[in-house]
Order: sequence, then C-alpha cells, then structure tokens
Amino acid sequence: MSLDMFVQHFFNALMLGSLYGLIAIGYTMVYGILRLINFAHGDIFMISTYFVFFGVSLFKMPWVAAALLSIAATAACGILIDRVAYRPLRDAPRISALISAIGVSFFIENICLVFFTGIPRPMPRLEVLVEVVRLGSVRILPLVLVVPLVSFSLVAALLLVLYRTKPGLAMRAISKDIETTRLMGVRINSIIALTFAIGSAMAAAAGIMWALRYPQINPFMGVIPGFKAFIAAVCGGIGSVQGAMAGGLILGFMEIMIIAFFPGLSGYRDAFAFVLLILILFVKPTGIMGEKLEDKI
Amino acid sequence: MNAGTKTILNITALAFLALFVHWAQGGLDGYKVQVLNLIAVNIILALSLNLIYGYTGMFSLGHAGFMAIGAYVCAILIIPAAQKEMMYILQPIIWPFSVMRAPFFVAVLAGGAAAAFFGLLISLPVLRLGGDYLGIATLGFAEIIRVVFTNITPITNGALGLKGIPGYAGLTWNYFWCVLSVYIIVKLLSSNFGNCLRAIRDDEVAAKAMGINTFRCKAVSFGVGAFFAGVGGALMGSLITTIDPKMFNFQLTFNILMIVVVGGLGSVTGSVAGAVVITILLEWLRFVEYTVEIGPWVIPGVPGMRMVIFSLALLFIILYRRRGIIGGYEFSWDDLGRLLRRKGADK
Amino acid sequence: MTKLIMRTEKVTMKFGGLAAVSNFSMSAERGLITSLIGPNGAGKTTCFNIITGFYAPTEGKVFFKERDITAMKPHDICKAGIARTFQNIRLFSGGTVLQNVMTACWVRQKSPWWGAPLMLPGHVREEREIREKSRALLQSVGLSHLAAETATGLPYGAQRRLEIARALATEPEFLLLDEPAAGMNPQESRELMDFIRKIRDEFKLTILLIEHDMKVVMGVSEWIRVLDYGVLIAEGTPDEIRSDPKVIEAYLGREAAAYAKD
Repeated sequence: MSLDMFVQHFFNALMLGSLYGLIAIGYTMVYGILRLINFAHGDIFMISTYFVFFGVSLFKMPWVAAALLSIAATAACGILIDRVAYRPLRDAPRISALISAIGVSFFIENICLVFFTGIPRPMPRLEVLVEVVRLGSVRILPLVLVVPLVSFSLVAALLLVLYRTKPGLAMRAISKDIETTRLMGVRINSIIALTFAIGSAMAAAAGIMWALRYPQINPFMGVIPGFKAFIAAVCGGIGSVQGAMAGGLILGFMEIMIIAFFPGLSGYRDAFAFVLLILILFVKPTGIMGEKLEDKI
Repeated sequence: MNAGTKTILNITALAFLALFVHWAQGGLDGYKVQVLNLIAVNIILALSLNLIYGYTGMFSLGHAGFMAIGAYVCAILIIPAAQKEMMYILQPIIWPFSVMRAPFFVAVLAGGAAAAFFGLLISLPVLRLGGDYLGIATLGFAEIIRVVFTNITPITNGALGLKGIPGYAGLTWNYFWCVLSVYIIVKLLSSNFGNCLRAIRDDEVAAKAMGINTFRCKAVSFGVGAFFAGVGGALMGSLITTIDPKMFNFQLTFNILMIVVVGGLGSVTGSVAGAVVITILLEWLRFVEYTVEIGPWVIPGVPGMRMVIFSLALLFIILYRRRGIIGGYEFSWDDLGRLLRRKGADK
Repeated sequence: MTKLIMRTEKVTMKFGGLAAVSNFSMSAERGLITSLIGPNGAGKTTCFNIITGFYAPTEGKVFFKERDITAMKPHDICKAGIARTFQNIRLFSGGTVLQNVMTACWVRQKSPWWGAPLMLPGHVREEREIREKSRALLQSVGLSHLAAETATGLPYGAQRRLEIARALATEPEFLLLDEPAAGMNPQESRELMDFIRKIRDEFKLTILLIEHDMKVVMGVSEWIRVLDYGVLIAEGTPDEIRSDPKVIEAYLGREAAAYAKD
C-alpha cells in the first residue's frame, strides 16, 4: 500500500472513529447514571439529520443555523424521550426500561418512516467542507480533518463540564450512587435530563457530520452506527467518557484498516464490531477504562 | 382432580385440536389457514424465548439468529438437489450441501439441533454475564450470524437467499410441533428442574448456595430455548417458502419479545395467548399499510404504521400493565373445574 | 469420623487496602452449636461468604472434613455438605413456600433434567419423594399449612424459618445461620433456641451461628468466638465470654469495660 493510500485510510479511520466516539458518549453517560442501554440513541442520531434537511429545504435557513437548531432540537428530543418513556420506569426492574427503550427506538424509526417515507433524502451540504483538496499527493476532503477536530473539542468541553462544574459533579455522583446523591439534595431528574440533553447533542453533532460524509439519509440510518457506537462504549469502559472516545477510535481504525489490508473481508465489515464486542465481554467486560460493579452478598 | 382425570382431559383437548386442524385445512380459506399456521409457529417461538428469559431470567436478544440457523439448515435439507443447483447463481453450491437431503421431520429436528449447538457454542462464554450485557452480546451473535450467512455464498446463496422451499409446513406439521414443544417445555418447567430455573431468575446467589450449578442449568435452558427457536425458524422457512439473511433482523426478535412480554413473562398460558393475540393483530393491522377505500374516501396505506402501532402498544404494556395481559396466571384443569362448579352452584 | 468437621487456617480477606478479615483461624467440633459474634462490620458475614465459597480469601485455607475447599465453587461446597441462610433473607420470590424447599432438593436429585419430558419412571418417583420430603421439612418448621403461599408473602419470622427449612433440604452436615433471630420478639427467640437444638439433634448437624441477640447466643451456644475489625479477639464458653473485658470493650467501649472490672 502506498503512503498516500495509507494517509487517506488513516484520516478516514480517524474521522469514522471520532464519530463513533461522539455517539458512544451518549450511550456511556446514560448507562453510567441509569444503567440503561438507550436503544433509542441511534435514532436520535438519525433525527438530527432530518432536522437539518427540513431546516434548509423547507424553512430555507442557512446551513449553520439549521445545524445549530438541529442540535438544540435533538437535545430536546432526548429529554422528551427520558421524560415519557424512562422516567416512569425509574423504580421498575431494569429490564422494563430496556424493553421500553427498544419500543421507543422502533417507534421513532417507524414514525419517521411514516412521515418522511423510506426514500433516501440528500443531506444539504456545506460546500467548503466537501470539495476535495490536495495536500501533496494526497487527495482529501476537508471534512475528514474537521470532524476529528470538532469531536475532540466537544469531548474536551464535556470533560470540563464533568470535572469543573457542579452539574458535572452531580452526574459523576449519580453514576456512583444514585440513592445517596438523591439524599444529598441533588435534583436527580434535572441532572438526568441534562445528561440526556448533552448525550443527544453530541449524537446530533455526530449525525450532521456523518451525513456530510455519507449524504443519503433515511429513517433507519441510525441503527447500525448506533449498535457500533454502543459496542465502542462497552469496549472503552461503560460509564467513562474518555473510554467512549477511545473505544470509538479503536472501532473506527479496526473497520477501516482491516478492510484496507484485507479487501476481501469487506462483506464482513459490520461483523467486526460485534466480534470486538464478544472479545471484550469475554476478556475484560468492564472495558479498557471501566470499573467493576460489585454485587453485595 | 387427580392425575388420571387430567390426562383424560388433556387427551380430549388434543383430540379436539386434531379435529379442528383437520376441518380447518379444508373448511377455511387460505388466508385464515396461513394465520393459524403463523400462530402455531409463534407459539413455539414465544415459548422458547419465555423459557430463556421469563423463566430463567436470561435477557437474550439473539432469537433471530437461532431462527436463521434453523431455517437455513432445514431449507437446505428439503430443497431438491436439482433445484439447489439452479438457485445458487452467485456461486455454485458446494458439496456436501449440494447432495444433503432429509425427510421433513428430520430436517426440522436438524434445524433445531444446529441452532442449539451453535447457539451454545458461541454463547457459552457470555452466559455468565448478567442482564443488559447478555442482551447485547446475544444481539451481537444474531447480527454476526446474519452477516456470515450473507457472505458464505456457496452454502447459503448469500444475499439472494433461498426461494421455492417446499411448503411441507402445513397445519398438521405446525400444530404437531407446537403441541410437542408445549408438552416438552411444560414438563420441564413443572419439574424440579423448572424450580431451579426460576430460582436462578429470582436469586442466583441463593440458588448457588443451595447447590444449584447455575451455569450448567443456564446452559441447558439456553440450549433448549435455542433448539425450539431453530424449530420455529425451520417451520417458518417452509411456511413462507422464501428466506434471506435480511429477514432475520432485530425486528423479528422484537416481535417475539413483544409476544412474550404482552402475554406475560413466566407464564406458558401467557405465551400461547400472546401468540394468538399478536399474530392476529399483526395480520389484521396489515390493512393500515394498504390503501383502503371506505365509500367515497380513499385512505392511503402508510408503510411503517403497523410497527408504530405495535411499538406504542408495547410501550403501553410495559408502562402500565407490566405483568402482561394474562398477568402471570397459568392455566390448569383444576381452576377450570372450580370455575364450572361455582357456576353450577350459583344456579 | 473427623472430630473437627470444619476448620479455617489463617484466613485473610482484603478488599483493596481494607482487610475485612485478618488471620482468622477457627475449628468447628462435630455436633456442637457455636457462635460468631462481634459488632457490626466486624467481618462475620465475610467469614460465612468465604466458607461457602462466594469469596476467595486473599490468604489462608478452609478445610471441610479434611478436604481443602478454599477454591471450590459455592454449589460444590453445598454438595459437599455445607448449607447456609442469609442475613437479608434471600428466598426465591417467584415460587411458593413448598417450591422454595423443593428447589433445594435438586442438589441431591439423581434423575437428570431430561427425565421430565421423557416421563422416566425413576424421575416421576423421585419427584414425588422430593415433594414428600419437602412437606415433611415444612412440617418440622411449622409451615406446612402455608405450603402453597408465595414465599415472600409470609411474615418475617416465617420467612426465616422457611430459609432454614430450605437449607436443611440440601441434607447438610454443617449449617451456617446468619442472624436467624433478627427481627424476632422474645417469645420467637425462645422458640428459635429450642428449634436450633432440635434440628441439631434430629438432623445430626454441626451449627455455626452469627447472631446479635445475646440471649440467643448465650442460651444456645456451646462455644463462642468474638470478631472485631476482622480479628478474633476472644473465644470461650458463654460464661467466659460474658465477662471478658476485651469483648465488652469491643461492643461498648473502654469505659464499659472498666466499669465491668469493678
């Protein structure tokens, strides 16, 4: 493989990995505080792209405005889902909330199918990002460089919130011991809503950037990336934001590089994530940066 | 009511079922027969998931994978060799799959056995995981199976799938397997082994302390559940005569999970009732996806509306009536006798 | 027959940097009722968890009938003949009272799980015997009239007795009871003491008790060991322990010990 090819693959992997990481953050934060796999998170990712699509094509907004509004709207959706489908089940057995999450996911996918039909729509694009440029002998989309930058900035900002602000402290406290945190006077439901908002906003950013790279959007586009992002979260250590990004990058590099070196395996691409999952669950279920959750006898 | 009377009642009920099936074959139109067939298969599938999840407490989301294995193994065994040669146009079918052939009963059995074997093989490492992790791991396996089946073209014909599967799965065979599954699973669950499974679900630590080898019991439950899921898949393949890897997706598992949850976890009666209700509902709701003319109005069909209604129904059940429509109740001849006697006494 | 049915050798249990149990050595003489007492958090239940195989000790060994069981899994240890009850009652919530006891008979059941669908005569007979044996056990704890009730619907004291009946169903030689008198009134505690003596004689058991109720401890124990911060600080007969200043200090503080001396 030539150096040019390798560089191209490298940046593609970096981009894909950071997108997985952004989505994974939403999963890991929600699981950290609620011990719930938010099956609907992948569909949140999908919804953000439709918000941009309709913002630009229906309401004739400038692209950047539509993108920002989409992030806000998607965050609101995340809060709404928690309020309607998860909050009533806070004290129910965990499986109930899980089944509810699955139900919400199918509901969102199919209601979008009903309203938007399954015909893939073209995502409105920001021209400057998607015109190929040449760096030496390497041909690259500016997008591929911008995405990791944006993603890492967002993660850095999130880590700042988590470790330097009061709500962030509350989030970390809840993930350690929800009952005690409640007894300390923290308004649990507000913090949980905030968590969903942040996670959904991250997923929205990821969705918009994803659709810039793969511009056909459809109601089921969030399913596979959603699963893969969750796997990334598990690999990195569920509950850890840094772990989520690490896991996302690992997965992104795995996917791109394995296909790059063994093109014959490209049909199995989607299975890599799941093989990685099985390996991690078998070898180190708590993930790379995770902690063990003990059961008191 | 003693055991002898119960046996007589069971045999009588079976006889009625046999008569009904015989009549329905000739007496009902094709559509209703198809629904009855689907009900039988869904009962098997629901029971197999209920065994794993409702009774043993293992949240497994991999059912579509077991069904896929069962369906493909059975189909390959019952499609005539010449037809297979013609069908595999991407890559020719390889030996021995080209010449393998078996009577339907054996083929279904093989489908179940293959599902149990592979299900156990790849799930054994993750059985010791709890709750959500097991769900995701089993979901992962189902997805891996789907991807593998799409790619091993010389064996499975890849994305094209298999068409023209002989439709041996008629009412007789489906209800035979249905009754057999119900019998075996009910027998297992009403024995002390069933008590062990429930104990593992209720409190695994206490179960271990009472001498139960929880890993082994879980493996057995998982294997039996996978077996019947494979049987269900095999029958389904022969029923709809076309299979391809894409149809064994998460939505398929979700439908069965829906039946089990709606009917009530940990209740055989619930699974049977749930299968009947959901199958009929699913079929009846098809109309919302087709254009309907009511007098002068034409209501356009809306694809996806079925699943919208479905997921809303599931959400409703899980939020407001968690124990399912049957509420965990289990049918018994004793209860029926008591009910009838009370009704008689009122007169 | 070995005189010491169970013994531990310098068992230490560390969680991270904290030692829950340090250098704990004890032995249980066959047929005796002995107790393990100490303030809350002293490490008593941790010892139980180590003996029954739920924790692997950081150091030390556990022997049962001269067999090293330190690394054995809980279900194998139960099979070998050790049974226990739990501090926070752990009944099988989805089952009836009878089913809870029958489940514990599985460990001694010879017929395989597939005997049920095949309706093997040996299986049918054994299941019937298990049902009868379970009923008999319920009878001996005075719960046979509640056999068909849901286990968790029982009053607290009855639930404790059910847990004991369940443990007895595994046919143990060594029984560990974790705070069996918790939540009982004085009348029930007296009945419990008689009950413990009765089952020891009837089922030929060796019994080890964790208990906070001193009346029960003093009334039923033939030997007492005292744990404080994971260390064995005293052992002896009830009279010796009652007046041991180290024990008083552990429970009530230095002042009380000084007071007792006078």
